[in-house]
Amino acid sequence: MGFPGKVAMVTGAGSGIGLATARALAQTGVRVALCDVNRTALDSAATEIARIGVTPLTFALDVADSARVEVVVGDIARTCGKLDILFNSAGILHQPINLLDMPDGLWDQHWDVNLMGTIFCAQAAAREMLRRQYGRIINVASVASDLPRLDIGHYCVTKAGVKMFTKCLALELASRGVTMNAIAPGPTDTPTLQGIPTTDASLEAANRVAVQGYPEAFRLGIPTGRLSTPEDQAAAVLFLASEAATQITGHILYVDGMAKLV
Amino acid sequence: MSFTGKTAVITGGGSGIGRACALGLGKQGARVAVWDVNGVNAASVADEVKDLGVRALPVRVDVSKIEHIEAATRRTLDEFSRIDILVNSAGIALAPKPLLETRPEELQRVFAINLKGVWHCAQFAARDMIKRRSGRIINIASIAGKVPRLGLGAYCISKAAVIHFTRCLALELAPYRGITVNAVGPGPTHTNLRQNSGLPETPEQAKTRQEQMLKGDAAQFRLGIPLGRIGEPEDPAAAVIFLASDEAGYISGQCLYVDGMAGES
Repeated sequence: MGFPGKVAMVTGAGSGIGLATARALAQTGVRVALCDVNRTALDSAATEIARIGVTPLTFALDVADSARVEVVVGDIARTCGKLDILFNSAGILHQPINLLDMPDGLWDQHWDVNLMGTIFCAQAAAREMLRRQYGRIINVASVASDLPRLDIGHYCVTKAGVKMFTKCLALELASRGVTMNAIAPGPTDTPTLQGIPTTDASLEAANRVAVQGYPEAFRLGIPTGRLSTPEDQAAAVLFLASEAATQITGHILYVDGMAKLV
Repeated sequence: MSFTGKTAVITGGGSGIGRACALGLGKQGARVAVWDVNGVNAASVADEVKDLGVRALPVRVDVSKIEHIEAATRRTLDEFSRIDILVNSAGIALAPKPLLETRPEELQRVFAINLKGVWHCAQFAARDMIKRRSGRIINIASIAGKVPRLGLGAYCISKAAVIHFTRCLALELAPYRGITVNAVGPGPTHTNLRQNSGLPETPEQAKTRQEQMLKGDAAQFRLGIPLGRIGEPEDPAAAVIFLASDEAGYISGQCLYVDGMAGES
């Protein structure tokens, strides 16, 4: 599953699944453009990726800023001559709160980053990819796209949107050489997971709840008995980005240790 | 993604998607037991695998007969001493006919191979995998397990059952941590499924049928394939190989559709 000469843009590349995927892509020889809103995380990711042997491009990027997204995609295409792969990993889960009390600002923030950001990046990348009739776009849905969760309704709704956006744009691009799929992680050991609510404030307790289930909150556990690692998710992204996956498009690949159950 | 030192059993390995899985896994170092009801095909694919420089064992197996599966499992374990990967690719189609006219013996035959064959092979392989708390079972389902098709009711139902069997077995084996059970759902794919099922068609008939699958057929409530081509056996095989890899260890109970989006449209 090599990717000789390929160019990939990874959003949210400063941490978690984005960073693990950027690392895995770089290890197979892909030239990676790292994007993150957090400059410090971006710089530290760039230092790490550079050690693998290929100097990455880096872009401070708020994916909700569509004008800036256009500029970044254009810069990557100009510098590298093309864009083959987009991994849309930027996403947030802030401030768990029930839906009736949720402030508009919080809604807007999740909507803008998780859904609009995914859409803006996919649109800009797809336009570039269509010029060469080749591309692989991979979005990040979630088991929360399908399962309602208490106190993270903002996250669930935006991830459900990502799922349907993936299918609709995949359909639009299907005959033109660009595939678009999503991974749907279950609870994964990343900084984002710290946003999941629990009765106990400690992260360890939150992780235990995710693995063992919490029927009082209508939440089942993880049948495989462990949290996902970012590397589990990166493996699925690399497969969907590979030549082997050329007939797969519009698919939501759950990498969740069966946490969704169905 | 390397399979050196692993043993894979491929049912229906003598042709089509099963053959592509056998060659794909063999190419990456796996030893392959090629199980097929057609002994000649099994032997010929085993030879192709050996040409890749790895060991291969052809076994004639009718997966609708549990005693065949038991004997084939023993034979495979005698030869390779372990089963790390099981790909359940053996399956048949029925001559198109309405469900109301499908006779009990026809239903029984399609279920005996497409569902019970998968089930029994998985049982025998899983018993060996449980010893090492490690293994991969991949069942070949179909988009027909998700999308209803006129005239193919029995096939559709058998494949839907395979998809849910996959989930149930995945849940049951999840506590062993290292054993995953998944399905791959091909869309229309160039294989000899019909010929092997005793349903020959002329080249013209095949062309018409493939055209209908590609372009869609409103009278059949069938939409086309957005990606614009019928799959090759290597397309679903690539998904099987990924799901069989160590890297896919957190994926279980899933059906990965390799259908050019035919099932979504």
